[in-house]
Amino acid sequence: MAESPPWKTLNRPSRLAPGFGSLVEAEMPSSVRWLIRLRWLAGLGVICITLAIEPIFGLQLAVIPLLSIGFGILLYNLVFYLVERRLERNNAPPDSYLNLAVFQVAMDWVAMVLLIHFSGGIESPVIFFFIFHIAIASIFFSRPMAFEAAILAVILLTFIALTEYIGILPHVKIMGLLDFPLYRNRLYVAAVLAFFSCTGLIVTYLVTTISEHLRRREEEVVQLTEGLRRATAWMQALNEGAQALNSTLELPQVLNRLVENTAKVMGVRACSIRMLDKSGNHLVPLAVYGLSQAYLEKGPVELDKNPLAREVLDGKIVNVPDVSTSSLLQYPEKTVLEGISSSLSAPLFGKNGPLGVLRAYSDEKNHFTPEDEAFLAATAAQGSIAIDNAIAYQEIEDLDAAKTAFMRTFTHELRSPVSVTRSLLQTLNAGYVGDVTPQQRDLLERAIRRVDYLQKLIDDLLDLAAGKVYEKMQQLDEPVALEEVVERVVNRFEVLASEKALTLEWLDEVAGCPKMVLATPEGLDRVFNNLISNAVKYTRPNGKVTVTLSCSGKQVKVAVEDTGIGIPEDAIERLFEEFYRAPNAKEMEREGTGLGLAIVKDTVTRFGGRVTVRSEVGLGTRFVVYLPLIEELPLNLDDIPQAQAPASPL
Amino acid sequence: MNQKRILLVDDDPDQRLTVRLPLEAAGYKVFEAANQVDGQVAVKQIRPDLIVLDVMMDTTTAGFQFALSLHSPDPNSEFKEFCNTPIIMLTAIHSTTPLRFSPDEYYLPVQNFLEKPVEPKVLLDKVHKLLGD
Repeated sequence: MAESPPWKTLNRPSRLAPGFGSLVEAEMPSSVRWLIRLRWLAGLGVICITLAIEPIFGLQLAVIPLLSIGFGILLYNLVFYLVERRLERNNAPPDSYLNLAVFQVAMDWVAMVLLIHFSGGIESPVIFFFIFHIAIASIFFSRPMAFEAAILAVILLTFIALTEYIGILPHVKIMGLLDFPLYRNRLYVAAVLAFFSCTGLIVTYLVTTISEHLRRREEEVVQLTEGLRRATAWMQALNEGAQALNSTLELPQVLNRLVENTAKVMGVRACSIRMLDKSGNHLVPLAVYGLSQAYLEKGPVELDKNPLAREVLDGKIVNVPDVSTSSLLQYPEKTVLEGISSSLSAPLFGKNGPLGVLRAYSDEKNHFTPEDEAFLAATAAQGSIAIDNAIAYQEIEDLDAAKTAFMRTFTHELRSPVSVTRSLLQTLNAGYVGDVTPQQRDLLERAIRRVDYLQKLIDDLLDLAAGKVYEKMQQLDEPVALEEVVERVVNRFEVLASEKALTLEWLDEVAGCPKMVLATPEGLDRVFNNLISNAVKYTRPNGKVTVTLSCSGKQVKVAVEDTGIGIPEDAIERLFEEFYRAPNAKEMEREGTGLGLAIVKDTVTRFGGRVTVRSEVGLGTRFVVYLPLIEELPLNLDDIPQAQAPASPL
Repeated sequence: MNQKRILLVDDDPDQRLTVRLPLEAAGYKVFEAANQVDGQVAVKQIRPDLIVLDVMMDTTTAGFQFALSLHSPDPNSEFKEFCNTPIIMLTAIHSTTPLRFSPDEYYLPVQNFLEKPVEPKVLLDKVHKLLGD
């Protein structure tokens, strides 16, 4: 009895999450409570029947001993009740309930024996009640113990019968029940004892058989439930892993969630991810859950000294059931010191080969099962993708940063020599360092023109490249008042236009309310600078350039219209191509990069707008830029007094 | 006539030359410094009437830092007496870097920006205007 617990123990799953007891364990306190409730009735029953039998049946009982037994039952039941309450309050472990049950059965046995003795010994009809007790014991105890208990009952009863027969124990007679006492009738005593023994043993056999059946079923249910619970947790963990993979590409976050989830779901003490460093020989901890700092600082994990890491990185899942006897570890003592008894490792493999090791640590030996291996492998596969993605993302970010840095350097390095050259030529040409002959001036001016062209080309190329870089950084866009930008650009060209004897007209049809668009002021400036500069450039003296701003619905429209040389029809479709220049434009202005309109189109598209062009050779050109307004204008457009009739389209 | 003094702070000697020649031709006395640190020393020695400053020197924003230290509103600033000395800032990066430079009076107390390449005439106009000549 001492070596094996009397309770019919289930092969309980050892790894239960807190609050997740087996079904049998969960049942035990309620079984104990049930027994206590039943015993109140038994005690009261003994008292009531003792008091009732005399007046009703005219029998004389040993009232005082029987009542004492009844009150005794109630008394010890009260003690059990209080103990049970205390266990419940303290959330006592199932073992305490088990002990309580054994005590209860023992006390009931004693009460039963006394009850039989004081109600007539072998003649007592109460003997049948013993069968109940044997049945209850059979439910609660393991089969051998139940048989022991049944045999004990037989022995106790035989002892009462024999001692009363011989006269050692006084026979308590129920007056008026039997005309002839039977306790000295040898045949009767033998028959009762024989039948009682048979009944007791058969009941024990039947009840233990049935309850064992039930127990097995219950055990299966518990195991299935546990299996299901773990399967659900695994699914959840994998699902969460997938979500983590999608929702965040920050590597440390992804990995920390992965190790924490893995440890919790597997019900183990700790989990870690170690990644191969650039040397390819060291594994560096990147994400850790449940390990002490001291353990992490135990020393470098080196592949050439660590057979476990080598095996894992070769693609194997390695289960170390007992770290204290394994020869695979690099730091076995420190691992034991950390309280780790077994570990399970799975490789992390990226597109370009091994990345590192995912490892789960348990403080139990032989903890990890083949299912655990499958789960860790699945988690590692998922983690590998997350890590791969995050690394790729990091690379893109780094590349982007490098590109921006490059652009900045390029701007300075390429622009400054050209611009200094131009200034030097200009200084020379302006006569600050002595007189310049007409022929020298001609040469200088040619040089300045070529440098100007180079300068413009560099600026345009940088603008175009910058636009492409910004495209990825939409957050740089801000609400900009379009009319302010356009007006500023128009003002910039006033001097140039008047020098060329051109009329430059600016017309805001919805003046008085801001036209806000999501863009960058620099981008918009570049767009209208290029359009208006073209218009001024390709319009002959005495011509006219009109810039008109109007709105319709959620769209704002800026038209740049000139009475210039126009664009040939076959050139229009290639107009927005990089480096393309219409033949008549080349004729009129030798210098020109052919990038201006490409920049316009690129930039406007980036701001969610579009550009259209209509032109007729010799009559003029009209470019229209459409941009989405952030908010529809609050005013009804008809209410706004129009300053002038809108410029008529070509 | 008391010659007005102009300090040029720029790391590019050619660029300094292109600014220096027109200014000298216009009768100003011109001094040079090649970086922020030399510039700060020179300011105290020369006590210029005007400073022409390049934005990008040792670092991309060295010019700004110099301007900020010179025009600091801090009453205990070592450059307190120069807080009203006008600065013309030369910049080549106005439109093509993510850094937004604009003469925001709260951000930068610089009176004038001049885009490179420097047009001698434009430079002289600005200088005349700032010095009231």
